[in-house]
Amino acid sequence: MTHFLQGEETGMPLPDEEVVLRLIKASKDGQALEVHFALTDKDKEPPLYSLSVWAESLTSPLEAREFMGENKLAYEIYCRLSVTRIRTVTTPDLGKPVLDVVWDTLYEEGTNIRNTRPGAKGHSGITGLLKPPNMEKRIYKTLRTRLADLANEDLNLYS
Amino acid sequence: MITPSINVAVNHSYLQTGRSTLVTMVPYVPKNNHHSLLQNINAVIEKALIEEPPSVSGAGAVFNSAGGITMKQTPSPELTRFQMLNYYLVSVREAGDIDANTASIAWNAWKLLSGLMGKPLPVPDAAPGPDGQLLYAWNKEEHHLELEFFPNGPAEFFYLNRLSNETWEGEYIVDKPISQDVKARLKVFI
Repeated sequence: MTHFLQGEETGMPLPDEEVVLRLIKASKDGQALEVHFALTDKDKEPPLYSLSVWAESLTSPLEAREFMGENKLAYEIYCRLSVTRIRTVTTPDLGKPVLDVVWDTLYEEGTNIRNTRPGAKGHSGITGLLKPPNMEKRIYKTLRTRLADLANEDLNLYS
Repeated sequence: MITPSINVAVNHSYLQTGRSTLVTMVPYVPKNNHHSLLQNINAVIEKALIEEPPSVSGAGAVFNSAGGITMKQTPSPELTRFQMLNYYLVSVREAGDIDANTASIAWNAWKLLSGLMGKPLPVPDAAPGPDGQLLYAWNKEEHHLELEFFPNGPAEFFYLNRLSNETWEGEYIVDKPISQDVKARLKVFI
């Protein structure tokens, strides 16, 4: 049976076999660094507290960049991350994997109307990156460094 | 007597082709003294960035026949990286990703660290974060070290050994001596 990925409700997990795109502003040396996986104030908003990514099967790299606003050309690089591998990232301090990749439905700003722009259906988030208040910073720096290492395995330049 | 010189051409944005401005000269730098060379390059680039809007192309540095160094010729990779860090700090500051104070603290920290070990420390990679912070990163095999500068508060070192999962943290405080701990971490990258 052929399964057509559609983009599910916010919070539902992506299939393991999916690949997600993360758009980044290149470092000085054109690499992904830990800081590219730090949550922005917007990412820290409920309900997901997640890092914005895009499901590759529903959003092309160019479509994803169109969502980055006026500053979109500053995003010169995108990385491809396997959902399965994201879900295995951990540190000995945590013991078990804490990251997940879930759908994050996009709405028209200030409404509850779904965004229908090309590629909007693929919007997703990496959850588990928000440091609980009682956790040491170094643990979450380690997680982000591991994600950056993963990202550097498949970095792509917008041409 | 020929005065040894350094000519610096700087670009408004290192990512773009822009107008070229040739600026300034500096004193003689002995051959085979890489560290002194780097210190002098620092001073010249800083002067250039103060006197001229950061701008252009083909930057690099080599010794000229008079024993000085001339920019805009085939550069050694590390010298190019040295300049690129400065250009990069200027460009992210101009883009509004970091403020002038963070850029200044980061540059001064690099000057301090680059001269700390007796041997040249590799120029770090760098990138701004979402909250106005700036990250320096050194990577060598399993070793990962970073120094993160925040708009408010002291900068922080973080080390990760990718194989053993050992981690370490330390503070970088402006005008405070660099600890032996930090020196030991940096030594790994030389």
